[in-house]
Amino acid sequence: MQPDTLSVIFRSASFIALFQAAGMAIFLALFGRPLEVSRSPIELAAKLSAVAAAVLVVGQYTLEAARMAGDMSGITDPSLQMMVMHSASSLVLGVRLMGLLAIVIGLGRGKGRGALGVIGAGMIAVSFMLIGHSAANPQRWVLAPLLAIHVMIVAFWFGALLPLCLACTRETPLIAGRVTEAFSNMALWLVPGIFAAGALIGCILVRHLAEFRSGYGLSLLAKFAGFVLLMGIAAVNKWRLGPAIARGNAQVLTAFRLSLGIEYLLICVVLGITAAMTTLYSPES
Amino acid sequence: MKKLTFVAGAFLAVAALGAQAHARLKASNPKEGAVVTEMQMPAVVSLTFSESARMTAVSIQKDQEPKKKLTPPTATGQQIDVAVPTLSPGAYTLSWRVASTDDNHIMPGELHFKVTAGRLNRPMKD
Repeated sequence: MQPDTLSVIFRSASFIALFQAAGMAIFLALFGRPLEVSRSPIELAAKLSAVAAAVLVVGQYTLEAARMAGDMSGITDPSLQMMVMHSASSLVLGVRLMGLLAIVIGLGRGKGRGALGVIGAGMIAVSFMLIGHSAANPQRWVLAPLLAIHVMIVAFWFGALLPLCLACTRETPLIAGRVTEAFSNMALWLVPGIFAAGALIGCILVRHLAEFRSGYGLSLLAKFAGFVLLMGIAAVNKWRLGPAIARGNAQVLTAFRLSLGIEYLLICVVLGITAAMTTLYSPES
Repeated sequence: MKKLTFVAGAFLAVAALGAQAHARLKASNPKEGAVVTEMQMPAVVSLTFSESARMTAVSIQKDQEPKKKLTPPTATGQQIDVAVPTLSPGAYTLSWRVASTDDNHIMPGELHFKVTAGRLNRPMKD
């Protein structure tokens, strides 16, 4: 398999695992208190996600030298590995691994543990602003924090899907309803932050409409289509299924879990497209 | 409608931000698609990129023959000169991988040119 293809696979999977681990840590810190029977499985899922993310980010880092060489021989080339080691990729790897460690340590009940998990999630969000346009642009002091906010909110959203599903499966309808309502109320205020941050970034970065005809542009449009679909599903959850669960209506739980599952898969697809787009395509091409 | 436009713009902007910085080919000698005689073919192929980069791998392929790996230059900069062996007449593809200096993002690239025997009737553009 070509190193570029393998790198896209690792990158996609690492995005999913990173966002899930970070989002679960945020979910437990914000909404974990009333959870009784579902807390342990959520913590276990967060731990597994963190371990998987660590393996995947190290794998992706190792593949950088292979991508430099254009074939797998790069992995054993000391000069290329040295070049990777002296690049921003090393800093990103270090910050991500430390963030994941903080998330794992922050799991479980105890004073300050939830805060540690959120700090870990924050470190993962910060790692995204250490590389790419936000790091290289002269206006990075504006762009980088906006990107970190964007990533943090996406993690909050994506990482809550599995915990919500577990809560609805294992908790009493009353607790499940309370947690779902609390999440929806916060999401209602936070999710527009994705757009607000994006609009500000757009004023600085977006230059040519012609970009949409390239492979890069088509990937953007595919992401946008997935995103629109996601917003539709999220709206159904917020205004129809969520309130029904909060009223203790157990009959809608199956529909709610299905809806969360579709949301989860769609976000995975969008993250996969992002990984391919940022690895293989250039906006200027 | 205004809301939808705002949402679309915001999303696309953030998606664009996720992209890495890229070193893409801006100019070269010989140029892409150039036809040069054996006598005119320079000993080094000059590649000018959109930003400072370091070449990490380079190879040359004549017609359908197997690719030959060349030693990538160690210099970093917007212009990179690749030493090529003496080229006999044929169609060549020079392939490379460069890493951007600012964020190490890796970009592949190719340059195609032809080498002919003898003199060309028209002057070389490069």
